[in-house]
Amino acid sequence: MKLYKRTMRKISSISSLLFLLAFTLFFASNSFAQDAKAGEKIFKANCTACHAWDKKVLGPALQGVPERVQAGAYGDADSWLKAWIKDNAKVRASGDAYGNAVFAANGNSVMNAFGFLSDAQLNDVVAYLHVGPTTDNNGPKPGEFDCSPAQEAEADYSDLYLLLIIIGIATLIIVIFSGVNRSMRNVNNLKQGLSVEEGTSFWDATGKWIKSHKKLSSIIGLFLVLTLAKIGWDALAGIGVYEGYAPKQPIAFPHDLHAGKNEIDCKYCHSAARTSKTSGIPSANVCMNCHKAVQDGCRTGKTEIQKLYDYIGWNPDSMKYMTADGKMRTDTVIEWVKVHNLPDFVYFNHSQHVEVGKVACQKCHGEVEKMQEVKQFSELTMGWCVNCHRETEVNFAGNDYYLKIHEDAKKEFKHKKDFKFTVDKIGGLECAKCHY
Amino acid sequence: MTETKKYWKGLDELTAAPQFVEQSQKEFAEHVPVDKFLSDSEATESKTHRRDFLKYLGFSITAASLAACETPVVKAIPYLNKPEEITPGVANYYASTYFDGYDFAGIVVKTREGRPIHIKGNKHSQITGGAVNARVNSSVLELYDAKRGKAPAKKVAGTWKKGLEWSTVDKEISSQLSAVSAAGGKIVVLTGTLMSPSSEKAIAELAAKYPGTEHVVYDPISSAGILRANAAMFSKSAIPAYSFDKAKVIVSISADFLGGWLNSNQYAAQYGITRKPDGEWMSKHYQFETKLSLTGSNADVRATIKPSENGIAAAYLLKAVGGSVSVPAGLSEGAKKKLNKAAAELKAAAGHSLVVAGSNDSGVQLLVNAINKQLGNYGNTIDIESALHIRKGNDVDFAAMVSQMASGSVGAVLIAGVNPVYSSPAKIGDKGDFKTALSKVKLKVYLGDRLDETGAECDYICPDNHYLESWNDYNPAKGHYNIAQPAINKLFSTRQWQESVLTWSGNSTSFGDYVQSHWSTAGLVSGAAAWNEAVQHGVYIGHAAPAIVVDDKAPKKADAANVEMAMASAAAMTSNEIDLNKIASGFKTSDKWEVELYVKAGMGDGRHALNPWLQELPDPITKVTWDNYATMNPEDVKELFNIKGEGYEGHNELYLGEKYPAKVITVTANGVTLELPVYPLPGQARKTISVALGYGRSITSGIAREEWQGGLYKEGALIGVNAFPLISKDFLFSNTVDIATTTTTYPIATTQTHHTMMGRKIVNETTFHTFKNTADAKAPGAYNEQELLTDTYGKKKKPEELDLWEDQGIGLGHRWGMVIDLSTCIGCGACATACQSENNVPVVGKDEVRRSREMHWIRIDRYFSSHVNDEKVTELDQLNSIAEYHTAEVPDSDDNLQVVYQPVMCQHCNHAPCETVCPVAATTHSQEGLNQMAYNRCIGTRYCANNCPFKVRRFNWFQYDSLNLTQYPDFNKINPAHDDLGRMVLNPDVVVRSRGVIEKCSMCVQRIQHGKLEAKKAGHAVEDGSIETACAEACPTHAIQFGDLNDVNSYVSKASKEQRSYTMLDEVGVKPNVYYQTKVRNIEQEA
Repeated sequence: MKLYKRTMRKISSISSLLFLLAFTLFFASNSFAQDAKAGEKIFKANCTACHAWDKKVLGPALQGVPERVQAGAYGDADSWLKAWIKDNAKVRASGDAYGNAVFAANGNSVMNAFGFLSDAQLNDVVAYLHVGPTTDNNGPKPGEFDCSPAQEAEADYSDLYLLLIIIGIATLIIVIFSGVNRSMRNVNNLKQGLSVEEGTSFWDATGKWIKSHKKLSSIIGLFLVLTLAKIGWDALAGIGVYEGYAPKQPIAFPHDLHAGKNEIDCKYCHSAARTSKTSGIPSANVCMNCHKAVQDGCRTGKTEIQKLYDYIGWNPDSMKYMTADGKMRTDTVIEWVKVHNLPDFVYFNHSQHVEVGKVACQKCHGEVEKMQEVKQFSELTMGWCVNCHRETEVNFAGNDYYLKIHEDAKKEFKHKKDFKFTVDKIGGLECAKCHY
Repeated sequence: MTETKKYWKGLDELTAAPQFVEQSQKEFAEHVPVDKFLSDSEATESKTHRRDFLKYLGFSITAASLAACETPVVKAIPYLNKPEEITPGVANYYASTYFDGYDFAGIVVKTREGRPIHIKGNKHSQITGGAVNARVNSSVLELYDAKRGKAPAKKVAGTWKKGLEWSTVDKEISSQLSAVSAAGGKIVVLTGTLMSPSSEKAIAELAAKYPGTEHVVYDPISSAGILRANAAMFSKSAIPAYSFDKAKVIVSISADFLGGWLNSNQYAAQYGITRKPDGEWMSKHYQFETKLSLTGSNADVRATIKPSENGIAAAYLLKAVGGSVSVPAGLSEGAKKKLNKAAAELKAAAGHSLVVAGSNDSGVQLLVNAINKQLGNYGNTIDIESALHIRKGNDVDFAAMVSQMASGSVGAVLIAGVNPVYSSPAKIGDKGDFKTALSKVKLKVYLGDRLDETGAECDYICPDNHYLESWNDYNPAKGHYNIAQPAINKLFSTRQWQESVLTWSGNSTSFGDYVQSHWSTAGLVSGAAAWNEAVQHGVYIGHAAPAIVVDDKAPKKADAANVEMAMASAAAMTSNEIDLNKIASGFKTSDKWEVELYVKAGMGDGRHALNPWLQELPDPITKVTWDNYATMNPEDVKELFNIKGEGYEGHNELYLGEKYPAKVITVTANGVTLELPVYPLPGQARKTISVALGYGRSITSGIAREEWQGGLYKEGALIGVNAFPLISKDFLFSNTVDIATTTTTYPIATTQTHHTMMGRKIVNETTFHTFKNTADAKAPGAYNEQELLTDTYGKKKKPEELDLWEDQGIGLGHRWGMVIDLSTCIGCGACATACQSENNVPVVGKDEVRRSREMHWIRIDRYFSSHVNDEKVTELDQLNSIAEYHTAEVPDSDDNLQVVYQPVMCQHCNHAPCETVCPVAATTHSQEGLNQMAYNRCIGTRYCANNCPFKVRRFNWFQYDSLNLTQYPDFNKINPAHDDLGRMVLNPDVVVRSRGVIEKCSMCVQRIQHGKLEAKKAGHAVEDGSIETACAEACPTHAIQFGDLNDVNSYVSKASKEQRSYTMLDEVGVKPNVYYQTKVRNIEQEA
């Protein structure tokens, strides 16, 4: 259980890898003192993919490492560690006995060089290696972490249904009241010795009522026809629109956990969204950046993560690929089911929207960080696209591409009072922007 | 008497044949043979009643709506371990090199998700400078050819055992080679020109392992005549480096240097530079040739000579420039007159002129060398010191080898990169053909890429990689190195032939490593970084690297006893002193029929025969697709077939079209008789025919659409006829022939008479002198006069002042446009195949082309023109103008025909007539000046095509991309989009259009979008030149230029305002965004 908790903490720290890296680079250079806390941040940003404190991951467990290092030519353990972290290949090439022994003991797997770390940062890291993980870090405290799926808002009942219910109730009341009315009249008729009104059938009564209330009934009739037409139209227009589509995936990947609880940036996995027209489904090697270490899921335990391991042939116990050549399997396919489908004749480019337009992923995909199972959030129809292009203003600040065209547009639309530089002003509604 | 010029697209237009007039009124060929494509006869006799039909209709709509309710499950399968350099959706580009023994070009390969999909020129290459022809940019399709060899095969008792393991064949071949070598037998490695240092080293390793190995180089389209001439004159068996860009006067005697002669990519690029009239001078080009070639059609002055008059013309020219040589009898007066003129200009431009000859007769080449020497061109426009290595094949060596093979003294032969059973003459030297000689060899190993003509005669087939799967290095010229790198992993179990040779020599290195280690041991590049840089650029300039240079080795002396080269110059060449008089006196012409064998700009030497893009590319001159034929002067056709009538009556018989098949003749030479359709071609020398090589490959049987045609084509018929057997035994690409008429006919698919401009003046031309001396070209009477219109009040107004439409907002943002220079367009067709590759344009096949349904988004209109005076114009209008044609076309006349090429694609009119007639607004105008086409909106009324004044819209008559082979069995044989492998070549950024929609040039809107996005991401304005359409990028002479007309600094906005520029059909007022620049000819009088 303890291990499990710690693992979860690690995941949470991974989410802010990049930020932390930038942060530490900025601040660490200002402090020359050995700061174990700063070192921990650097450690988490750079090392946790391969190292854990008390457990062998790819590299050895680092608990007690300053004590067991045999510094050799480097004098003391700290100097050795710093040299090793900076460029371990150089240390090994120098013929350092302990370094080469460690290398061999860990299956000759090559450790990255961290030449970009400043001396101050190296000092911090080494300080951290003396102390070990602090308990009061930013992660949730034991027992605090809630990994149950986020509650999703209930769907609203539409006004239309409410209206229909009201109409139904009203009709019922009318029927009941007209019956009561007739009974009362009959009682009165009996008293006065007049003939008793026969109970007419509903249809007769309705017909009679319609005859006597021509104006009102034609209004109601028109209203009914229009309502039915609207329902029919919506049903037809909904063909091919799969809003809310949430297919089952081969691996139950919880976005709410990864993007929500752990705050992993969308574009860490879907990195192609910055550069390509597709956002890209992350390849398994991206998953393995974390899941070499994270072997237990917080909801499903080992079962779902094991599926990933099966696809690529990873053995979590020996921390090795089981293929003959020791590499990732390439003969399997993970058949993810595409949630957001655009027709073949539509060109949509993620990088245009994400990089240039600075549109948040959530604008089209909804709050994926709250979805356990991803579902289609928007209708993805042409009307939906076009509407957004009409409303959205071009994010042109600081982009020289738009300099001239913005000036031109201001001139072109100078007669308009509240001119907004929206996408449609520069051809955002034209056919060949998306169809070719 | 005022002179006018009349343009016509073919004889039928000139004479206004009634079929032509009828045809020209229609945008689409009529008579849709509905019953034929619903080939099921029951379908037409169906008893479905109207009510049943309505029931079916109702049911299908319901079913379709119900089916639509179910969410389709689409799988998205990512890489398991994504290669770092690949991002799905982003293209990668790799520099490489194309060389197949015939064409050479530095190229850049565009790949998407690891698949090569498009090829363009590599601008780093100093040899070709980014020029690629149609053959090179189409070669990407051949990678996905399902008919390539997929694994080694062995012939056992006459049948092929396929799908063998490499280790098995390696073992067997190595042991048999050892046996041959141990028994003292000869092993021959027969290849085309290699110019690859590492490949030659690999062969040397084989020779070291098996003593008695000899490397024979053989070029199907041989230029050994030049090699021999230079060996005799300069002791250097090499092709010199020609600089067409430095020559003020270019004289070519039958050298088609723009179409396929030697390094035509390089020459086209050079030629384009000085054909632009904007500089101080423009080159003057004389052409003397038999058939109207691509090069000849671009010449300023052209005269016809028979193939046997090549040498006489060279001797005449030599004498005229001051050489002492006696000129044998021959040549027409007209040709002599033009030769005299050429000589005068050559002398005036001595040292800045260039004379080239296409003949493979070393005698002709020696005379041409003498002319260039006389003019002092060596060291200026010709550099013999830094020679090109593009042709090294020696016919004498080849003939000697064949005779050794025939005598049984060759024990084993390894054939790589050439297909001699197909491409050698019927008689080699005095022996028979190659096939018979080959059968005498015990071990025959074929290292080609498939079971083709030569493969079928061998014992083993060890299939070669496609070049896009291979490593290679090239040394095209002294100090210049190119690298070819694989752009994709091997698709089949194939192996690069060099690697096979290495394996059999006992070297297990992969060829990629082999090339790298050879470069590093030779000291060409040192270190991985330098190597990587060389690979990244695809080119490496290293003058100080003698170790790796493929030297220009002296020719081996032919064994005179075995091979008798019947060349006029043979005797003269062996002596040390070159006796030009003796050479010249050897040339004799006769009045017999002669055949000239040439190479089509679209087909090359036949190795691309299975490439449907190239088969469907119309020939630049004849505009015929999917066939070769005998071109013949129309007067000869009339005489031969005894056609008597005058005017259109007579020309009825010359009309080629859907309903008018070609006449067929038999051609006999070398004991071989071929049946060939006749194509009447103006500008052909009298009593000659010309036949294209490269057709009639056995591998093409079955890609013609025979079953659909109800016996129109023969079952299993080949595409065209193989003319290689007609090559004379001394390897001249001409021969005397016997010609006989037949009564049979043959259907030909030509795009020539389609899409006519209805006699309106569409192309504009002038002379260099007029161009230089005109201040306002648009003024009335000037060469680029703008037609004025009369408004309601009788006022003359410029077309842009009168408008039916409201102004489009074209001032905001970009306005994409093109400027096409008719002066530099050489008509080669590289743009058409580049467009086909970029835009997934379907191939429709011969039969559909015959129905005018070709789908090319860009076509090159070819107009013939000749001088006619006013009286003659009237005569022409009265439909009996064959007499006029006589004066224009008879070679004796000074009044020879001229040719103008005009590439036409969608003009993206700002006031587009197509847009206003679309009932569903499927074609609309963009703010950036593009005429947009939304395929998913189009319902196929074809109103737009009818209303387009430029006839650029194409209709999808069939589901050309369908994988449903049972429904559309015909297209799968010709269309690359029809099998799973072929579909890999499709550009994923462009929609594949479905049946029933109109398509047309989009100005590569996907590239525009991409270029804009890149600029936005980088945060700067779009730089001029950063976006190029596929056609502009492919144009070797930069005749097509693309850019932003609203950007005042862009090339196109400046060029569109030049005096030479105009828009087509200006008076119609459609305001195209495509500008043309007047063609300028370097001739004396007003054309």
